[in-house]
Amino acid sequence: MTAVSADATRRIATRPVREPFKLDFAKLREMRARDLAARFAFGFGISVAAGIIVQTAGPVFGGMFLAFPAILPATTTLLERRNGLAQAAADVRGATVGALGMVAFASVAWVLLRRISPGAALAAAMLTWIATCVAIYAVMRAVVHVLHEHHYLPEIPITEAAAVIDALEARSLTIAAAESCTGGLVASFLASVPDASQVFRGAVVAYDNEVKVSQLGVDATIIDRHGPVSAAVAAAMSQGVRAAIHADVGIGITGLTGSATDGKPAGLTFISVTLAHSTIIRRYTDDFGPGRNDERAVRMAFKLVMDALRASTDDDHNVAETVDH
Amino acid sequence: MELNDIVLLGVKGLIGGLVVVAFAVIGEVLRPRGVAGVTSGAPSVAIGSLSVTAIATGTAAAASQALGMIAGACALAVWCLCGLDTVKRFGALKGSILATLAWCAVAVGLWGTALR
Repeated sequence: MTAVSADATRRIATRPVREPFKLDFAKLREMRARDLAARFAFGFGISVAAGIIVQTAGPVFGGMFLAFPAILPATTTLLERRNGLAQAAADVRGATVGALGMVAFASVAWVLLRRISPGAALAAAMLTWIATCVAIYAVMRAVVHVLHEHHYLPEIPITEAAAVIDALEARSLTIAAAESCTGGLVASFLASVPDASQVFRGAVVAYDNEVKVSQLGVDATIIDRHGPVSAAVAAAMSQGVRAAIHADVGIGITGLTGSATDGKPAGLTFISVTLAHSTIIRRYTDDFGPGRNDERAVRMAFKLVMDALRASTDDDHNVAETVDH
Repeated sequence: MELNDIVLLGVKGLIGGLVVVAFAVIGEVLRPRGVAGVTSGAPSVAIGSLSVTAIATGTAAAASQALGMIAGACALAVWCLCGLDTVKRFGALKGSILATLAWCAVAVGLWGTALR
């Protein structure tokens, strides 16, 4: 088990509520070829489909499909899977601005295409889209500033923690967390949600294997057999903390968020969520670096709780699985 | 459908796909995420389709498509507003599908009342 770097903890815990605008080129490394291929396929598909509709139903009717939401659902679904529901929702929020800009784009294109060269008309339309988006976004941020609504346009998991608290409260359930590599980050975010006390019972930072055994009741032989970073230990942690703290839902997190240890790769993280009749375990293998791995673990823990609650609503049967991400 | 039409569809598809990827890359590096999401509402498909139509068929046809696109874009804004709630409530996939029903209703409604 590797230590969570102090820098990483500080970065998440004290991240400014309003993140400044920036270009994060390091993100390009996280882009997957298959995701880009999927987006290309969606773009190709909707362009061809719109073209066919134009030919069969006329240019005005077909023109509507130039703004058909084909790519947005794909992007939103990808984001939800990769970064959690809050990021997907943030993307939709941003797309609202883009869509309003698209109304301006189409209006300018409609007016200018008959009057000036197509290149100039579309360039003007594109500039209008950019200007409209910037203006709307600036107004939104100004309004947010005036209203002191600090959690608008967020990129911190507090919204995901709030969603978890809301979902549990709606079901009259309580939650507890057992954290190893995240060192209490999940507990910190849950506790920061207003009125979380109705739902969040507590947490055990079981960083040392001995604490996992003594405080959570994890069988030492499981640790010896599978290693501390394993699906079995994560499941035992979530089951143990649920029983120890008398909560309805238990979270267990164990991973290598810093560097590779004992032949296991950096980034390897197991997250488990236990409900009354089910335990869901997920394995994450991507290595985003020390800080990002912690953040991913927190986000995915919240997402997994939401998934588990949905699954328990849809089908209240035993579930036990380990899935690669 | 003539060969020329098929080629034009292919070119529209190619440009549309490439512009979508370009905006996806821009969206990936932009922070915060809320700003990056703006590129998800970029007129990616329209740029390719309108430019190819204007060059190959004429600016009048492209302008007519742009007129239809105004209705589509209004419907897309409604998609986003609905999606904000449905995605949070039902998850990305189911939420998007539900919001798409709203897009269809608004787009067809605008077409039937104002553009037909």
